Amino acid sequence: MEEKGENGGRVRIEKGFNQLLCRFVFGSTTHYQKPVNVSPLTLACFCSDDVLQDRVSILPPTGQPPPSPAETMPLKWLLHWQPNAGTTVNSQILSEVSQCVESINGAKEGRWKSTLTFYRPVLRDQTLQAEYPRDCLGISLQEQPNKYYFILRSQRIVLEADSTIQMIMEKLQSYKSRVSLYFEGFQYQLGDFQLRVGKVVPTHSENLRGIVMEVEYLPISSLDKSRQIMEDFVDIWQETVSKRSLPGHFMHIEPNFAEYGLSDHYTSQHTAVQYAIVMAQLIASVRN
Amino acid sequence: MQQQPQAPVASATQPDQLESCETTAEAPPKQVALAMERLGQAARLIADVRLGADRLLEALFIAAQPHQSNKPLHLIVNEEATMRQHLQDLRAVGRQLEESGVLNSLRSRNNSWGLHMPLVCPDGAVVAYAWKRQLAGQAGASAVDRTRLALKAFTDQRRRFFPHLEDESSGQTSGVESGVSKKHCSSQASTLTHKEEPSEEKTLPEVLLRVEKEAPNMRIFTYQHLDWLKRASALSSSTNENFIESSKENNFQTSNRLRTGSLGPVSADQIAAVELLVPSVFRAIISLHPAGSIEPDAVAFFSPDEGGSYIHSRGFSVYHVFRHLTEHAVKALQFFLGINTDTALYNLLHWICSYETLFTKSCCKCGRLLTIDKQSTLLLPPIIRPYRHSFTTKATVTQSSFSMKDQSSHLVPAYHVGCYSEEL
Repeated sequence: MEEKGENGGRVRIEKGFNQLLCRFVFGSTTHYQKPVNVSPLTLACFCSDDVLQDRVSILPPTGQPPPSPAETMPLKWLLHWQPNAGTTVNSQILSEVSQCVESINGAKEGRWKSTLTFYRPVLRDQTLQAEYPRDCLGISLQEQPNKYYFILRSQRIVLEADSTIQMIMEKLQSYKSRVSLYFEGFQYQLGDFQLRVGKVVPTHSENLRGIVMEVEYLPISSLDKSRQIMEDFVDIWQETVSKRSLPGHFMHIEPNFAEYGLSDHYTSQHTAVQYAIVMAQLIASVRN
Repeated sequence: MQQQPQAPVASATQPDQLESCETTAEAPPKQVALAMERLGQAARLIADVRLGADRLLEALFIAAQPHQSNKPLHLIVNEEATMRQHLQDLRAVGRQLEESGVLNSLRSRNNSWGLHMPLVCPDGAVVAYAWKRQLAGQAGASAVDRTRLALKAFTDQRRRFFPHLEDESSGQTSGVESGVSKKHCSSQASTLTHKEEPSEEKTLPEVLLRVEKEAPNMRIFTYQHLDWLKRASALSSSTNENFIESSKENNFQTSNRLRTGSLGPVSADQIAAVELLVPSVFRAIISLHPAGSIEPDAVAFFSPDEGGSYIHSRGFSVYHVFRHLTEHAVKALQFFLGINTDTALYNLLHWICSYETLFTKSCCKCGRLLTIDKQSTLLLPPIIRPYRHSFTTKATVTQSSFSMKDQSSHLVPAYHVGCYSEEL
């Protein structure tokens, strides 16, 4: 597939490229401008052709395509464990939290696992390092096995692509994956709620880096309409956990989804954004 | 017996002729015709062989009797020659049939017709013409399947050539969006002049119109009998966006038709299901019995994201909150019917409007939105809205129809199942 730019440049999209990715990159129009910032994602996707770099730009978040209408997903809040100052998270806390879920009649259903990967740009010229965002995150979610999500938090970009994009990234070698983390644990059913309690561990070690919890309310898919219900649930949950006198508490950060171009209708992209935010929070708390 | 010498000659030439005709590039119909012919020949040859065997027996019998010349021996020798010829011919025909794939069509994967051709159907019927795929499907099917296919073809044709019949009997009317209802008014001026007065409504459009004014957030759709089932199954594959688009389309079509005034009265009489949708909150289905009347029959609540054929006025949602709500609604329906069947539908719809705040209004007794229900140990929002005192008087109707929608639905108190008691 080839597209023609205003100034005559051509862009060739590699075979096997995901359509969603193309649509995101070009938005709904195909005009090309002289870029001020070149997105690292575009770079990754269009390899290291210098000519191409000048001819491609990412539209601002308002150019984001609408979420694919095939999903009517129930909405989800992602909570993370905030340990008290001076303490760290350990597996004892994790087992206590799991017991809390069971104490409010959560029925254990199975395991879940999502993966998060940090990508860093591979640049021939190291002086250009500052130009490119350093926080490119890639996320693979349990409930969407065929999709892969990229988030650039600093630029408020979230992207849904086919899971084969990981292979393309590896072949292009413009962005390399540095660190990978697993979010894994057990899934519980609580009436109309579905809970997932998970630990955060790096891929090749067993060090517990954090604890997360996904709370999903199945009957509704609108963020707005469900806000009070979810807040109430988090209150009940906090009460239950606090009875165990653990050194820390769960926190929920509400991302500004509108900045990422996402709507009130919940999708997996919202989940990906929440994971990115939680990741940043975990890193910050480890540093402190 | 005198025919015998000729027969071998005739049958001797036939195989040659047949072999020259046989090519691999024959069109399937021709091949089928040839195969049928050869099968016929084989049958005749088999009959000849049996006749020959009878004659041999007869000749032996005669030879066994005394006082015979060597006539029987002559007979036997002739017969033996004839039989041998028949058997050879049979073998030749058999080989031809085998080559053309008739005898072992089920086993061979690359027969010349490119099909697995069952000449004998599962129900025993023998089918000769099966060269087209569609027909092969039909030919291979049993009588039941063939009937079903024929009926489908007939219905398709009818739909193509008699669209007006289609509209009357099974078209979907999505009736009462505000734009459409105005046009509905203009074509049925006599029945709808009462909308200004707070008197009791007697027809379905009137009731729906009144409810619609009171709850502008809620969308109301009406369906004829089987159309709701079609729509319910479509819900599972469609999305919110598609639904809104398609309903707009339908409204446009309906309004066009109503403007011409031809189908307005007819469609209202056949409405059997009413759907109330508050986007992102709930979807309620009410069935009317008899169709077109204002007597509600059953009611059920579902999530707006649910789809499937179990979504109907007697179905149950997969979500606990809506299941409990449905149980409560059924009691409310019985109560309203018990008071006054004429106003039951209006009261029910009006009561359902109050559920706009299902996920936002806290319980009036305990002040919380979510609590653990003691009986079911589930977390539920307040799903009880009292219905005993919720049938409206004239005064409240005129008030609420001009006030903001929030106020009217917030006037109704809400309770958790565990917090509600009859004395309240």
